[in-house]
Amino acid sequence: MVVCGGSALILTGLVNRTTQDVDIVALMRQGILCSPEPMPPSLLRAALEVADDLGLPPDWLNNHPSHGEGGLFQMGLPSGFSERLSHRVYSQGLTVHFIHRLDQIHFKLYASVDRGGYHITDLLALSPSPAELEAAARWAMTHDVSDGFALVLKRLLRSIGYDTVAERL
Amino acid sequence: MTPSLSDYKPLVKERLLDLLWRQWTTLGVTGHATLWRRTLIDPEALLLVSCTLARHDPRLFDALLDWLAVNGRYVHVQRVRRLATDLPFAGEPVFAAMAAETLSTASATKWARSAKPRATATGEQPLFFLPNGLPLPVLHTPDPIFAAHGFARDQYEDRHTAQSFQTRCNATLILKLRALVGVSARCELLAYLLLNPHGSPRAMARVCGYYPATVIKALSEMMDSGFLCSRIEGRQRHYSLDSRTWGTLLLDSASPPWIAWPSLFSALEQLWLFLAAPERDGQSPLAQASALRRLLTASVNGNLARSGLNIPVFQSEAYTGETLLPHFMERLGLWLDAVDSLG
Repeated sequence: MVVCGGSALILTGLVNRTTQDVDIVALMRQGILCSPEPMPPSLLRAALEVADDLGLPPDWLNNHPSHGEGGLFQMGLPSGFSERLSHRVYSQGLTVHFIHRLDQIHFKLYASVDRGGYHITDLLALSPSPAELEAAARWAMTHDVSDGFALVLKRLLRSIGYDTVAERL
Repeated sequence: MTPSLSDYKPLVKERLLDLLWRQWTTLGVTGHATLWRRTLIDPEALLLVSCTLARHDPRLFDALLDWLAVNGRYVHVQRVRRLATDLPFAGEPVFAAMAAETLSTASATKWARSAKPRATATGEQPLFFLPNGLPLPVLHTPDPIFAAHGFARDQYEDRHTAQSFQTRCNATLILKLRALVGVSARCELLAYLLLNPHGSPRAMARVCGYYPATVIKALSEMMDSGFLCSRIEGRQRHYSLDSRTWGTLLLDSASPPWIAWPSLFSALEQLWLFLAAPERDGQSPLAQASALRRLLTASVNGNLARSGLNIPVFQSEAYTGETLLPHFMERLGLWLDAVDSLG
């Protein structure tokens, strides 16, 4: 499985105080990324057993980021995404791939424009360079091509001190 | 070399937020923090201090709102109001907005009295702040409930991540007692008598955050159960409990020290607000020390002394002029270390 969100943020060591859920953005089969929707029944069963054992919410392991037509996987992952993954082998049957900091910046910028709030502070904790934010902004604008999205995106960039990036878009 | 106050401020913020995350995670907020296990957590004092500090951590703030939807029935709302009146806590307007939000999700009528906006609410004050102290931008239509209370934020959405509180540790004793016998002053009184050899109604009212009349009436009725003892000492009646028997029943391990969290959190919040004040960065060290000295004398030292921690308070008279600043930073570090070790 390929994991983004809080658990991947913890791995970077830059954002530690995230919630406990594990967000799956894609699955990896024989080295090829594929959609995590629907989740494999065996994985769902195992996740529910762990939830019972550790007292976690039933959906602690979920595919929310890549759920439905507007999901991250469905809409297209950033260019070079799979080459940047790092992985950890937990057992013969479980290898977890964690997304790279640059891809976190892409996803966090998109979530920041979409939902605001703590996604913005998460984004800033990743200390993005102007070039990284510009790449993320251009990717985000391919996911939502509306004028409204571009407007909010530029407003966000200006309010967090990246005026030059906003001007370049 | 001693850092400047502006360099010191983010360190204090991180340590305070760590403390809050540890306690809230133990109470059922889902988070990646070391659980708070040893001393009792005071839910109302924690909630009040979070109304100020969690404005610097929107993730924690929203996790609290999620938590209130699940566990809000165990919060003593009247006690929150009493603590906010009794001690210098700054978060009451934010608490009113939280109460209004909880009212809409938990349908708890007990929140209604606390959910009224202040008449002066303008909807222009940012609720959250970025790490550099600037307002967190509001990108979409502001949350109408918070806007009615004078705070601008994006729409709050319950993520349904909160769980019930941990039951296998002493830290959640107050919530466990409330779940067992109901939300009333008796839970704090029972906990106080469990962790202290005895107590007078006046002392218990002060450290537990209740009106003396409430405590006197509750103790008088609790005496009728036959489980409490009392004796007259001077002009005061002192109450006690067979803590060995009750401790076996209610505590998981050795009896932890009693901490007066309302006093401790109020003092820490006051110090944070001093550090975070916008005018602080432009002041000379002498002006900073002068403002700090007045704050320490007016409320902070008194509340720290009443907290139950055996750490010397700030020596504002021994350190004249700007020499107070390095002493303050060194001593606050000691206090934060001591507080951290309580969990």
